[in-house]
Amino acid sequence: MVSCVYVESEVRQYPRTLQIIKQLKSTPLIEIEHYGEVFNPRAQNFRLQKSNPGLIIARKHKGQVLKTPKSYGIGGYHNYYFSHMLNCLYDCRYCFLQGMYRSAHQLVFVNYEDFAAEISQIATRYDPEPVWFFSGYDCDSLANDPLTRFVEYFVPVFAELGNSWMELRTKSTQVRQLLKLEPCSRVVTAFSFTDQYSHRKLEHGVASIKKRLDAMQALVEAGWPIGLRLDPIIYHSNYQSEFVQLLQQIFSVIDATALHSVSLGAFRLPKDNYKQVHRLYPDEPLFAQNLTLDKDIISYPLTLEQEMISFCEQKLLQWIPPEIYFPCNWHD
Amino acid sequence: MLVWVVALHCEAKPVIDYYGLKKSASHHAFDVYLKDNMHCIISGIGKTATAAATAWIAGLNRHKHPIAWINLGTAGSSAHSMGAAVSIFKISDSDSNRNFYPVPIFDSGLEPAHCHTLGKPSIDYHPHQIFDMEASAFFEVATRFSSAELVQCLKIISDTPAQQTGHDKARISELINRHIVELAGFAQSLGNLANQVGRLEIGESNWEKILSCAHFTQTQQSRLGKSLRFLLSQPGQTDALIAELADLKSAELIIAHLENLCHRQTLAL
Repeated sequence: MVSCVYVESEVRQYPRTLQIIKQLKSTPLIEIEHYGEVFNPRAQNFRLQKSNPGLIIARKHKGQVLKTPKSYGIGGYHNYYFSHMLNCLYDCRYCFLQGMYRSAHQLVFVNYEDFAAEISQIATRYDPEPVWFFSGYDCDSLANDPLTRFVEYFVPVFAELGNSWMELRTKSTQVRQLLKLEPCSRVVTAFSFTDQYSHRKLEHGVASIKKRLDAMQALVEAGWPIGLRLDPIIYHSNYQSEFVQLLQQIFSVIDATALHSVSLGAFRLPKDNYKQVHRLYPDEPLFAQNLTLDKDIISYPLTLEQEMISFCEQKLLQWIPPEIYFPCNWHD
Repeated sequence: MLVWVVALHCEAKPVIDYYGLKKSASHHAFDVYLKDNMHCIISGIGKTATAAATAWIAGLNRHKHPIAWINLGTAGSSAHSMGAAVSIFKISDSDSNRNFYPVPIFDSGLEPAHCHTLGKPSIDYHPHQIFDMEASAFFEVATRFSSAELVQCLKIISDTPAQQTGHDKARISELINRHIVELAGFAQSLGNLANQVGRLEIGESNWEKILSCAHFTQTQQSRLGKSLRFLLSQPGQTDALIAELADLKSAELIIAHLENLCHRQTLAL
């Protein structure tokens, strides 16, 4: 599962650390002073490390909760994100995380209490206005849940904060812990999908579309709100027919009335992330496509992107009401 | 390209014999044994010597990218038995107090160990660390030339509180030779990793051939490189592609042609 475990001395005896180490008992353990010693050095190859990453257990000292970028949100006015973990179990070729950090090691911050305190402070500041907290920005919210027990800790935190909403964004099927808890109407588990062809080509390690839909349906039946994130839409010669098939597959399982929100966006990467990812994966067809730079974002040429979004939006709105649709407006 | 950085001849002997490396007559700053894509450099004992040897051989091989590195040597330990082979996961330097972390990218089957690099010999054994005199300098310098995944340290325990090999050269060679098959397996795995990285580069001779087709500005070279790295990574492209480009007389035509090829190929991802 992981090549080795690096543990900051400061958190070595934390109960959460001991529980994680116990689960990884046969994995070599290396004590470190600060996660930056392992995570930050320049001379690292993300692509090589991704084949067999390690796990770093650390404490996040500041900046536990940050404001989201302007275009990131699903209708809320106050939007924040928090990352208990950096880097993802999965290896999706379009993901900005590939170009974000030098290391592919999975870094988990075990001082959940500090995150919760800051979330609570922010929620109180805006009370009674609703505040959104997005948890899947720097990792998959649920993929490592059996190890990190993120859901077990944070869902009850949000259940107590009456004006706070949490999005769990995931491509995982790890919903077991959610199914054990009392559903909270302000915790939305949002599942990301690309079409079958893109999934096969670009989403390494991700569960099948069918398995993710089964997990979604299990949450619906247990009373949890769910979301759909059709992002990114990837251009290929059959993207239109594949997108239609994807929608048919989704809505053959999921009743549209069970959806809290749906978002849609075309493939895009911040310029610096793109440069880094392209350097790591020069052989990847996705990055050799006709892409352009606009406002520091690499994406499809505007006319192509507009054509893709227009087509996909039109097909999507045949299944869902417009009130729950949130397009990604990164050009604004 | 794989480079062994070894302090002493007696430590290098098993590697030299196993691979049939020949001593270079043209290199004089350090003794270098080589064959095909493998070098073994005898640095001498200590951090300064190791740093110098590592940097020197990196410069010598600056066109052979990427380089995979192995620092092989003996070490002292109170936590391991005489002759045990370990792979280093953490290196601490006694003078600077800095720590370095070789990346365990594949399962070598060797026991992991924390290596403390000293500035001078010592018999003060630490219960959880092994001691050497080269690893920190080797790692710090080698990672200027290669990513950490390709820079590894392997040590054979030659001194324990109960028993010291000291300067017994034959004994040192014998202790290392016991593990030569494992060491060769490790080197093979590391070499394969380096090849994975190398396959993504444009070979120097191909790059020179294409650059000679027209005059390219720095910006154009960057665009050229981007398209070429993709196209040359696809099977069966190289010779036909280079032949096509020879007929196009300007940098912009060449770049436009290559970008068009990329766009056509990527319609199917």
